Amino acid sequence: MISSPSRLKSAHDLLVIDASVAINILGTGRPADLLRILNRKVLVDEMALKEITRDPFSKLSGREAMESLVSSGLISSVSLSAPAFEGLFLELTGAPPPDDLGDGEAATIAQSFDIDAVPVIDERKATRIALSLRPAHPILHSIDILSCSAVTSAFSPQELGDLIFNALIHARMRVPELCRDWVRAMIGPERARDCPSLGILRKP
Amino acid sequence: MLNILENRSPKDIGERLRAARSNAGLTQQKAADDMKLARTTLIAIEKGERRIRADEFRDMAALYGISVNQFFQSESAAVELVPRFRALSGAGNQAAAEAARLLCDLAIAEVELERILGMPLRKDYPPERRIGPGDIREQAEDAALDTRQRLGLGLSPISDIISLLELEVGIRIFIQPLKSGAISGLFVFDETIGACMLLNRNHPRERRALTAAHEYAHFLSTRQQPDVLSEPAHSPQSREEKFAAAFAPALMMPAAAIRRRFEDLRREAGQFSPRHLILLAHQFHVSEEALCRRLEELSLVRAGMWESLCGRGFSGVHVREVLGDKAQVQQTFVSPRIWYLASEAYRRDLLSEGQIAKRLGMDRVEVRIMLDSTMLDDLGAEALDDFESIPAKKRA
Repeated sequence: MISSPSRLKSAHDLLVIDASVAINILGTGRPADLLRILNRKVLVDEMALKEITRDPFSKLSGREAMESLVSSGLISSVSLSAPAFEGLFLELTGAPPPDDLGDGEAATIAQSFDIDAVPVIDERKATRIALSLRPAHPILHSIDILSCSAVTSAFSPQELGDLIFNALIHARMRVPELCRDWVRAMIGPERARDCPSLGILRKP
Repeated sequence: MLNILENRSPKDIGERLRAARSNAGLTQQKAADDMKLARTTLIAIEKGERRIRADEFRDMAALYGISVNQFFQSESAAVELVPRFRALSGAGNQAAAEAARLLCDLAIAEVELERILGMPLRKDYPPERRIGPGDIREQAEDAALDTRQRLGLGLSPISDIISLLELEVGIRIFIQPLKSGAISGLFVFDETIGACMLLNRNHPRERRALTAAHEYAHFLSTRQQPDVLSEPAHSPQSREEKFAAAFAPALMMPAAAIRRRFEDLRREAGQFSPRHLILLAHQFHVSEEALCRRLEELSLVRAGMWESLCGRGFSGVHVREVLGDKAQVQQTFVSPRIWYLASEAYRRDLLSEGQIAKRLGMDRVEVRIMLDSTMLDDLGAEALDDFESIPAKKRA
């Protein structure tokens, strides 16, 4: 059995999720169950929130889907403080390419660093830039949430496999290469072949 | 550390803000009122006479609906395409204004992609062909034949006019769902950015092809004048519009080729039936309606034939029964060039998924689907080796 690749620790009790991650959570088809089981304070910056235009699972409005999670108290919508906007946010959005970031990603990182929370971002460029700014600050991905012990112990392997498969199919969830074997094991080899975002398996 | 608002010249920021306000359709007074600023303060900021504060900038970005990242990065942020549409009759409605803004945003995004990748668009524009006095239809037929000759098409059907106009002429073409189904497409030309078209993704592929041909006619005849092609009851009034309306079918369905194939089918079967209409429309990549109207125009069938067929129950169901559901292949997220540029920028780590989605006005999942193709590059080196080794093996 492949061990869980999750890097989510009990100390990571305050998370700021980016649009790239919120979309995957919606894509599982059971976002409320997942967030309830996660049992952590989850924030999303208003600029990242605006980028979630569609719920990939229901194909309905992403804004309404997120509003439902916010009104249930499972996610909190936040906005940057004036110093965070004037400082890191403008620094990240205005940096010369290729070290600049889009508004949502920059707001997620600026918000996390401002309140000492853990950013959760499924974006390699954003991850690279955030790590270059604060190498010791943890940065997590969607798969860290889906493979954490709280989630793996609350769902049956079949249920969890379905959630992950949903996120892969409906939201095209990105999976870091190191986590792909665990994901393939969870969803099974047949379903893994239907998931382009798991990468191309070279023929031997 | 100085933030970018302090690093950039107030004049540069002011010009960008003025363009953003103008593209958002706001007067200086309205913008100032909404932000609770004196109009004179706004004017001073836009002229670069007063440096904008971060809190003011935050309010302006929200009011104008701009991406802060794009605002700073875009070299073309000061290009104002949207106001050119405002002078158009019928373009003053909300849907047309939104579509014009979308076209402007997409055109600037593509130019920016080219800039950061160092891959400028290759343009090979024909000279402008002014509409002269005399019969408009004849001029449109001649222009369509000249265009075909210039593009080396002969009388062949045009299977992919989007790629043709993008690659051979260098027109920027965007395919996006427009809120109003009444709008088929838009065209605008700018000396810096070039010729740009926006086609309604909600329309069938065949209709988009005719729209592209229609907008090309505007580019050919009166490129300084933007165009919004909209239904219903689009009855061309101006000579320019009449020219474009006649040019599109003439380009997609050249008279000589249509006449020859029509006669062949009639000779073989003894008559020209609705079945033949379906076949011919399929071969020329146009809708059955467009083909039938072209046959009427060329006096090959009687006038009013399309209405008569519809009245007798001819519908898309018959087409699907014969040739399958073409809707299956109609979903196109972006034009091939945008796909290539965006994928390349992502592969080189120049743009993030969020930046691409914002610049191209796409849903995040659509962007992911588009970017999944970059994984094919994992096979690249080997595939290229195999490919390059073929001639060597043959020589051996």
